[in-house]
Amino acid sequence: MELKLDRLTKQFGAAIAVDRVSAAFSPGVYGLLGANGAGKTTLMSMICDVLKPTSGSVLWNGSPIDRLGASYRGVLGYLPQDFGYYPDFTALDFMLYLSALKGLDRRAARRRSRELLDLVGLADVARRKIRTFSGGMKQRLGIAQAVINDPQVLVLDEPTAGLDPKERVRFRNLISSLAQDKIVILSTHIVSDVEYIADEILVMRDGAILTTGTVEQIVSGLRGQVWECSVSPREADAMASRVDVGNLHYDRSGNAVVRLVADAPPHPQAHPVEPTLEDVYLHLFNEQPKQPNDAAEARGPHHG
Amino acid sequence: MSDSMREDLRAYYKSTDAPVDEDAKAHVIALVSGQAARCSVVGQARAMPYWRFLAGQLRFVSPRAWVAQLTLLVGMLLLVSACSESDATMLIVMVASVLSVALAVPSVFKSFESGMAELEAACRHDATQVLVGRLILFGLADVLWMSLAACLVPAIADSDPFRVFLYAATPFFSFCAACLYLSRITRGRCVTACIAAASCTVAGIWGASTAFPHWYSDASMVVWSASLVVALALALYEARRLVAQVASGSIFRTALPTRG
Repeated sequence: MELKLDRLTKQFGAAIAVDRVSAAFSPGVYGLLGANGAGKTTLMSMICDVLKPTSGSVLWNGSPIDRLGASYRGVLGYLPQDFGYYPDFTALDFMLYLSALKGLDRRAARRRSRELLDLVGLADVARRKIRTFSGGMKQRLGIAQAVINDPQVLVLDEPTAGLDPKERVRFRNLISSLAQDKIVILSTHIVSDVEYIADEILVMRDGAILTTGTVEQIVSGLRGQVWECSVSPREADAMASRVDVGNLHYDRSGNAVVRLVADAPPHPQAHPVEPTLEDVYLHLFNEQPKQPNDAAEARGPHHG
Repeated sequence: MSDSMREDLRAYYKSTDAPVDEDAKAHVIALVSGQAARCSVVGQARAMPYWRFLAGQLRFVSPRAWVAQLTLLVGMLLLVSACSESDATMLIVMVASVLSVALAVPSVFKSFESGMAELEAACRHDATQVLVGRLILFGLADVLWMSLAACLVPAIADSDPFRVFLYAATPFFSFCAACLYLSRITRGRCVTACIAAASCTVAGIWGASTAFPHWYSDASMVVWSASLVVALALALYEARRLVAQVASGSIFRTALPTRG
């Protein structure tokens, strides 16, 4: 079972949304990490055969998916970032409708719909209209429809966007339990979503893959370059104007605790700390050094 | 091999067997169970003939859509029976044919209006098949509609069946072409635009007949027939372009470069 992307490119006029992306996926959970506008959704749409690429191809077990067509989509499960629903549908109607589109016969569709609604905790509301659901309930319904045909490839685009922390953890656990023997590709700009469940991370920026690897491999690139120090607010302002400050908060004594990435210690009191995936993300997606005003805004009106 | 040798071998291998690894055994059983469960689901999911898929889609068309079409047909026949003038009868048929398209638009394009189209696009029977399926279902319903009109209106109003058919089909296909065009330029979110267009078209048909009395009936059958052919060609052209847009994915919101 292998899904391969071969120099996949998507261009909209002069804008290149995905730029010659190549990758290979075997069973496991893959996190596609990138800021808004990085090209994640466009890439996922091409993987799911929703959008045709400008050039390049997606290969499923060696065959291009545009040639496989329905037989590839038959092994696919997709949860788009903003998915809609027919207003008069109940949760069960929604599952049965998508089962029909995925080619399940009516008896299997009914049985599987009930099983999955129970699994995602929506069995009690199966006959309620979806428009009455909360955001978390809709997302759970979304993941249920994505796996109704027991797909071999499961593509989830920002599945935890808009969920509260408790729902996000529940969702992550659900994905982990459903990820057995599947290729799961999960896109997000929330680092913690992928940090715990992804076997491999792909970091995407400006339409291209910057780096890939396990969490450990990716953060090891920053080992020895992440520093933390406790300084006065004025020193924090000065530091922010020189280097990319990843994290800045104020302790009870009014000092600024600064965490940043730099080749050399940025301050005599700075000590090295173990890098995290968030440090990598902030380092890669900080375009410009922060201005002094940014640190002042972080302090708020009651500080300094 | 003698029984005693067989027994000896059995006893020997039993005595040298490694103890059963219960964890590994449970893991294998779980894997096999999972695979069996998968086969029972995946085995059900196979390509079905398109006609069966179409028949299945009927289940998901709201009954209200069919009730609306039937109400329109009955209303048209009642108005025709109340009219004495043949010109007014033909006007009613023309307006009703435009309205029959407008009534179908919300059902045909609801995938795009409600944001379901992206989900559908990634299914075995994708968004293209869903759209074409709905066009076929409502197209067949409208063929039935127009056939009934062509049979019943002449019987009620004592008019020429072929002329009735031309008066129904020409505005029908013209307005279909307009709605398909609007759907393409609005990326499927065309219900409001189509309703507005229907209002303008009905007003235009009525206004033209008021400003130029007998304009429609004075036009020859050749002119009407040629208009029907052009309208049908336009409708087919726009349908093809819309289906191609859906198949390429450029109709979806993901096709906007600022997203994701």
